[in-house]
Amino acid sequence: MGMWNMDRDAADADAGDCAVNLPRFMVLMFVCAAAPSAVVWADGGAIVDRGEWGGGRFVLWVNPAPPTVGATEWTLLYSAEAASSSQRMVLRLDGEGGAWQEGTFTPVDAGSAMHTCVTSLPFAGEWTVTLQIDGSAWQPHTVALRVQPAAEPWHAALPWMLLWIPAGVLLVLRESLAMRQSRA
Amino acid sequence: MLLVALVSPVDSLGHLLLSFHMLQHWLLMMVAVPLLLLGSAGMVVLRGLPSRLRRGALGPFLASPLCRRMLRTVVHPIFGWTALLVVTAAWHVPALYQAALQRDWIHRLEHASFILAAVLFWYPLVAPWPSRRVWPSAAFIAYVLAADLQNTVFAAILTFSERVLYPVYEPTAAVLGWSPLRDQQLAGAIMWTGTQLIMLPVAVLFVRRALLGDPQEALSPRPRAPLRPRTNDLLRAPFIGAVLRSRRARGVLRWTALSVALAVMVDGWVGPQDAPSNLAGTIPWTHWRGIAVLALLVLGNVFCMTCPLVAARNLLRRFWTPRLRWPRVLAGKWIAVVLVVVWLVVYEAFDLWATPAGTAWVMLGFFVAALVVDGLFKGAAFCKSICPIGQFQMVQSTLSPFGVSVRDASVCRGCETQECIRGAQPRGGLVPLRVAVPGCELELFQPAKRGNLDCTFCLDCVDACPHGNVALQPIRVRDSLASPAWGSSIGRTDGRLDLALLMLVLVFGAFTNAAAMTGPWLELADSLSARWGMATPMLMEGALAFTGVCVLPLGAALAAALASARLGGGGWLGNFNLGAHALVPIGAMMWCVHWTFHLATSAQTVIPASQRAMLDLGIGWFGQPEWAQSCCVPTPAWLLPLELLLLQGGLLCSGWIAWRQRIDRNERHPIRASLPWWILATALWACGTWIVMQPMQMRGTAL
Repeated sequence: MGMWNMDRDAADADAGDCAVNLPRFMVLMFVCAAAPSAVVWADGGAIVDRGEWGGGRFVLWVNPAPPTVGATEWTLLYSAEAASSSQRMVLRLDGEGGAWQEGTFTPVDAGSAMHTCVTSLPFAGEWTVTLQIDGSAWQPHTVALRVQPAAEPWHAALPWMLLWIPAGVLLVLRESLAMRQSRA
Repeated sequence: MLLVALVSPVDSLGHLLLSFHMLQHWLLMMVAVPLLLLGSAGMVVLRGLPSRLRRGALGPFLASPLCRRMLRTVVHPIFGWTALLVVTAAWHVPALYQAALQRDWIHRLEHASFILAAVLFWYPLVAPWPSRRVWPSAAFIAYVLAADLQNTVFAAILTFSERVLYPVYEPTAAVLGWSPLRDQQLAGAIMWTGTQLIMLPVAVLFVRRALLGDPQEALSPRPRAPLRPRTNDLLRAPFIGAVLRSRRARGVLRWTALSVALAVMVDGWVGPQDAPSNLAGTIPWTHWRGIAVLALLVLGNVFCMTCPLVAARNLLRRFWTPRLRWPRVLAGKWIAVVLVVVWLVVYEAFDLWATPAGTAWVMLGFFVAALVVDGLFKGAAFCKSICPIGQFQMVQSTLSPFGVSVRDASVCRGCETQECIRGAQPRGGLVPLRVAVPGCELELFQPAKRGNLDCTFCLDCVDACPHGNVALQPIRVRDSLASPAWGSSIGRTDGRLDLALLMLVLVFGAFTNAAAMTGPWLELADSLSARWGMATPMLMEGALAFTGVCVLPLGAALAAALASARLGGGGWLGNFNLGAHALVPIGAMMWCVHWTFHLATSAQTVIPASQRAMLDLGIGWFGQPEWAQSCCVPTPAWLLPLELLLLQGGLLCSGWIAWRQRIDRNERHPIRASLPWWILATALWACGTWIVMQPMQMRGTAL
């Protein structure tokens, strides 16, 4: 109770916002609980862009971070009330030589402000990321993105490959202790 | 509590809002950890481990004075308090905290360090059984209040700061309609009041104890109940023990295997000659091999126990009694070595996995050979000296956790009748027997049996022993591969060149067999065939397989043996034989990795093949074949880490066996003598690691 009062006292101007956003918060919590696998999209990654667009604020993440060639997960947290569920939010990627990719965002659950999509980046280099809403009068939002070459498969497996070294050290320690104890 | 902290929306919202991240950390450190310690989870886990692992692996560490001193230090209150302070302070540095939100592995490290610090902090307070508090209760009042004070400092910084300390939350809080500064203040309040909600009652509890006395201090050790003798004998386990002990149940298993083998052979001849749609293209190469190798590493040589060839042989011997003895000159593994080499080379050269009819003919060859040999000669000469599959099973079973061995050696010392080797007639008494059973047909005398080598798990010795003194119980890998003792029917580890060659062929065969399905190997075979003007790569694939299975192991092991003899002393032959034994674990793990890969990616291929076979027989109960299942599934994410772990386990086990062999023989330079074999095992491990990272030919599937 004290905690909530402190919040209200310190932010009289935002008190109305808090009241408005609590239900949304509750919906978001429900969505997170109901679809934990989908929420994974929002874990980790790096923010590509954020700011005002259309009728609200947005944050766009990309995973892996930094983005590399191959499957790429995009997460968009968008607060615009005007973005109705019937409108298609599209992510377009334009690369060198006219190459392009497109992905359609889907909300993690009905009414959620969090949207995800997956694209496949075919090569490294400079790409332009464009956010647009089909049938909307809002100007598409663009941002530049540098894509790194894909990591070698063994890079990801390296921690698994080298576990024998600490395990070997433990084995040697165990053997030397056992020998010392059997002598004593 | 761990579930609430790590799996519920608290975790997801922790990525968006500082307050929820703080709530998560509070739940982990102030609620979940003390509850875990109050449950004495550590001791429960320790007591729940198999006694061999507890005493053998952990015992030397727990008994070491240095380790005890270190443990005493880390569970000391001063260490715990300092750990909590350092970890809390470090992760509140903005750069580190924000890095944790952007890199998943740093986030995991953050949570791990928080949990560890909380364990170290709460351990002296809770003092889970059987440990005792090292300070009087009054001192813990100061301990708790001092921790609360340091927590208050960090919480106050968060609460009263006029700027956002972690800008990474600014955009997400803004999108959710929260002021980032309010979010930070809320986080500070959770840290402050939440921790006090826990710490102050704990401080009050210790005040009470300081005044009224600590119940823990009044505890006196309870008298221990006498320990009941425990047995790890699988034959005495509920249900599975009854099945294994029953001759009839073992017979049913063999006849079931025989029925499946006959179905596979018939389908191989008359079914479509397309591997993924034929039982002979799926069951033997994907399912039987994968399950067999897993069973070997989890239980023991159960596939020899249920061998269909034994069912056919036993049927023959009901009508025909063999009179000859297997010639001494053919005893040993010489024939088996040649057959294993032929088997592995033919498999690659003729793509046996892709030719159902070829598979069926090979299976028929096994049946004919087994019936001819065991029809002419007494005992189990085919199993012991000829069967390549049996040799594979018996060599890999040296790593099995269970083996057939005597329960009480003193009982065997007083036994004069020796039914386990001579056989037994029907009898009554304590261990009754309804039918006559042969003694061990592989000539393994139980009291002198060492490890699992040459044991087919037929369990005839279990039936024959009138004292019920033969068990299926845990055995040590050392006994099979490192022990200097003489073993019944095996001899000494360093005195069997035939056995050493068999082991080397199987070890290098594992790597050759797996490498032959990788892209680079197939490209090499194609390019060499083209360069030498061969019409098909078949001959080249066979030549490469022969090099990998025969030439390479001989060359590498001979070099290692000569180096070992030079560095550590002894003859090259003894070193050669010992070293071959030491390489068995890395080879077994490569077989396991390879065949588990096929099983994990292609297990469902048997469904459409069976549906098709049933339809061919006019049985439509199982529906139309779903051919989509003939295609392999994507490789599961857990498979590569598991493969890498298995290979490393094999490497460590090989290295340990190589060293243990020298220690058990009291050699003067054990490390120097085993060094060449360590190098060879490491080279094989590197080769195996390279293989599992390569693109694979998806054998037995529609790909």
